[in-house]
Amino acid sequence: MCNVETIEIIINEDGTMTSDATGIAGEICEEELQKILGALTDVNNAVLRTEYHEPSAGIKAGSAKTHQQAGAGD
Amino acid sequence: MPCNRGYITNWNWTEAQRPIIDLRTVYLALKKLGIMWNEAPQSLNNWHEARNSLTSSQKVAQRIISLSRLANLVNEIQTLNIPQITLSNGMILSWRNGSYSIGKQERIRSGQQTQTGAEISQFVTNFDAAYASIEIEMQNELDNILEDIESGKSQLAAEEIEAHRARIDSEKNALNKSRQQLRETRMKHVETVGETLGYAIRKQRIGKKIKYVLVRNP
Repeated sequence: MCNVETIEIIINEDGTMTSDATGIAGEICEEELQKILGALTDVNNAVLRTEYHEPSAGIKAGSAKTHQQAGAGD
Repeated sequence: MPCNRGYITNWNWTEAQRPIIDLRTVYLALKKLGIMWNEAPQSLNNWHEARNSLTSSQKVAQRIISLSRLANLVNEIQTLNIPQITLSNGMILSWRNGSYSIGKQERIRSGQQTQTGAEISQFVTNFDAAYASIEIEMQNELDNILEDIESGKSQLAAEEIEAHRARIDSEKNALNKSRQQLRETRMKHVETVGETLGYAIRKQRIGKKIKYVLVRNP
């Protein structure tokens, strides 16, 4: 069975963004976010969730990465 | 003519922590940092001057004129189209996808590591802090005026209240418009790129936020 790749992107009222990905392995996830958001913001400044650094979690549960631009009004 | 062989000219760009969208805030943030905006538009210089000239010691009629001038200048600044801002420290602010990015050009030997990365990063941090504090300062200034008017504390003549309100409206509208443009640019980008990469896209409005869920079967 294939993992479904899901990326959630929230655009806040002030234009800042947060994103959250599941079902995509760590580095690939980063590449994917770079493709989608790279032209808009600095994905390299992303705040990584702990799952990102856990290979097993990446395979079993789908790794995740949260990209958050500071100042986001959540 | 010097030989350029072996060198590459490179641009190093960094995003600020918060979107840089407002020219007036940029102008004041640079002033705060003691950095000059090379050839800043005259309307911004005029706006700064008009803002500083607003004092309670002015006569009412004079203050009303200053407030109207300020409102007009804010509207005028809003129509400016400035793709690039050159700073006295060699940095450049470049308009990209609804906000400004900060960068600097460098000339390095091919294969050599960037020399300007740390410098840009430091400047972005300083600029971001200055921009944030000016943003809050400007917002507080308007909120305080409005509060004084609404509480009746300021005891102003109706004409002056009207002039204050017009100025506040122009400033708030300008900022809202810039934010709206930024949101729209980002929304369009996410939709276009997401679709190109083969994601099914679901869009949802949560209060004032827009949530996109991009789903793909690998």
